[in-house]
Amino acid sequence: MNEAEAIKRNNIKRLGKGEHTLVLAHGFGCSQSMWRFLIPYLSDRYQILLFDYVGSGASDFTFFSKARYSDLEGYADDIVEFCEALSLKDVSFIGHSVSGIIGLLAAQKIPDRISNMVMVCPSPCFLNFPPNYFGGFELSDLEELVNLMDKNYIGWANHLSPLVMGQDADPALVNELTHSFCSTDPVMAKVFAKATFFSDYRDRLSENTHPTLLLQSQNDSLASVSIGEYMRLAMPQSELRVIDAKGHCLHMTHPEEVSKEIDSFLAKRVS
Amino acid sequence: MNLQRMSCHDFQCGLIVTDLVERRIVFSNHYIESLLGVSNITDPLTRIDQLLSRASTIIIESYVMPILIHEGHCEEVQVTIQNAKGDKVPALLNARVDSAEPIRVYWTITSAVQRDQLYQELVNLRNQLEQKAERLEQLSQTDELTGLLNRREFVVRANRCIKVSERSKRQLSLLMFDIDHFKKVNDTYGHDVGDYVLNSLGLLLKANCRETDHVARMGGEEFAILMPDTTVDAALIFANRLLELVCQIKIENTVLTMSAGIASGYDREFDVLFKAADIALYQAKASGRNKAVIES
Repeated sequence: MNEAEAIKRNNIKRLGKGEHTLVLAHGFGCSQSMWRFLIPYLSDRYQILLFDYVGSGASDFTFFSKARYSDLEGYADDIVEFCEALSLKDVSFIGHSVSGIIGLLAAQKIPDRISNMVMVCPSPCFLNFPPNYFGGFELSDLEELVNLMDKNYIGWANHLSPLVMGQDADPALVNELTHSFCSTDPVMAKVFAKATFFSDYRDRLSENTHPTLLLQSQNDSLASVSIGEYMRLAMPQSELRVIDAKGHCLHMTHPEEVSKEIDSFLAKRVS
Repeated sequence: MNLQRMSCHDFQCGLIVTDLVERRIVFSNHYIESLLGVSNITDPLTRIDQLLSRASTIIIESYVMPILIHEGHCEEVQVTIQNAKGDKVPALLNARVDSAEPIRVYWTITSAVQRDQLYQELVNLRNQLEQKAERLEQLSQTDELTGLLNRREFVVRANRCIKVSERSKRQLSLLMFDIDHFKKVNDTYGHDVGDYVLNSLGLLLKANCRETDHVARMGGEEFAILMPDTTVDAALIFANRLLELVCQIKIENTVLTMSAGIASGYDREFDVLFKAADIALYQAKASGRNKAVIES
């Protein structure tokens, strides 16, 4: 994959100024536009790379494959491939929610290209495994989620797209979405939902070799503080900071606090 | 009209007001209370999430909140209301943010039982259609007797491979082969034994070809394999191996043999490649059978 292909596939946007590059990775649900509130706090000091995973935002949907994107490794490969295509080196990876784990998987594959990570409201596993681990959800909750995904048409244009998305489908048709803020294709969003919420990457945490900042909110209905503590204990080289705020979208609701945490974490590591 | 008698408690839909970040309820109307079968939920510590299923919380955090923060309003989101007893009711959410301090979110919640049933029917129908379309696609591409590709699908895929090899300038090879004296098998042992032979050969090919090869029954006792990234020499080695393997298929005391023709290249149209391999196959037959011949 060459640079132009990678930029088109993952709708890569670059902005900001500075020596050091931050790769901002959106989580399940929306797209790179989730970062717009945080960017003004960072773009005067850092180069920023934004992208959409294949199947989200304005990525090129002709690259979507159910097999590839049915687990988080497929999403990590998006990152690995564009980091290689763009010859990125020593970047800081900042991932929201499920993108924390996706970043971990990517960083293991390209340890020289990603030098450290910031995970905003991450979780390695959303399922409960009593008595030792409480991800927050029962299997039946997540089955209900998949059903709800089928019945929600948030910014979706192709309600019946599975029927027209054959191998030879016209790319113009496949990519024809409303591109409203949260436009997502129903089939691809469901695949992402399953990859995100049914996965369990707890056993990969101990393999971490990158300095990692875990940022959590005091009250997050998708990732409780106990999950942050679990990750800090399981992950070598990690530190946990609980921000004095609530909710799962800290980068949208408390961008200033998040940017300060990123700054002080990177100040110790980036010359 | 007596305006004083009117109140928001009279609406046939749930009205809730919360803050933005924690979604704590500061107001709700009677409809909500009757929907949930409880009275007085405006305990200042109650969050709107407590009225919803856990799955709905994921929808709220992943879609509704980002959209509300970004756009200030969000429409027609289906969630599940869950009452204190655990009963679940499908519901439709709309919300608007009033950004004057203190920031408030105005929610409306309506029951969506019938809409949910309709959607479920649509989802089921879509799944059925998808499965049928998949099945039909498979049928239209497959040779029924051997489970290999049929001629039409083979030609489609071969053309696709040729385009790729044109670009990459990497050789691909076409192997055509034909069971020797197959008519005699049919005449001597009957068509069911003939079918058995074809079927066995199909299984043998599937087991021995690479995943990237395209294998087809072209019709009658004629087969073809298209091998991307394969030179003519490599194709010949593979063809000879197949000739050895095919001897495993025995009908009483007769050992099955076949003849093969090979053509290669990266810039030849399918028809040209096909013709060249077919002529080579004819030469293999004419010069004694049970052998593979490369196009001259």
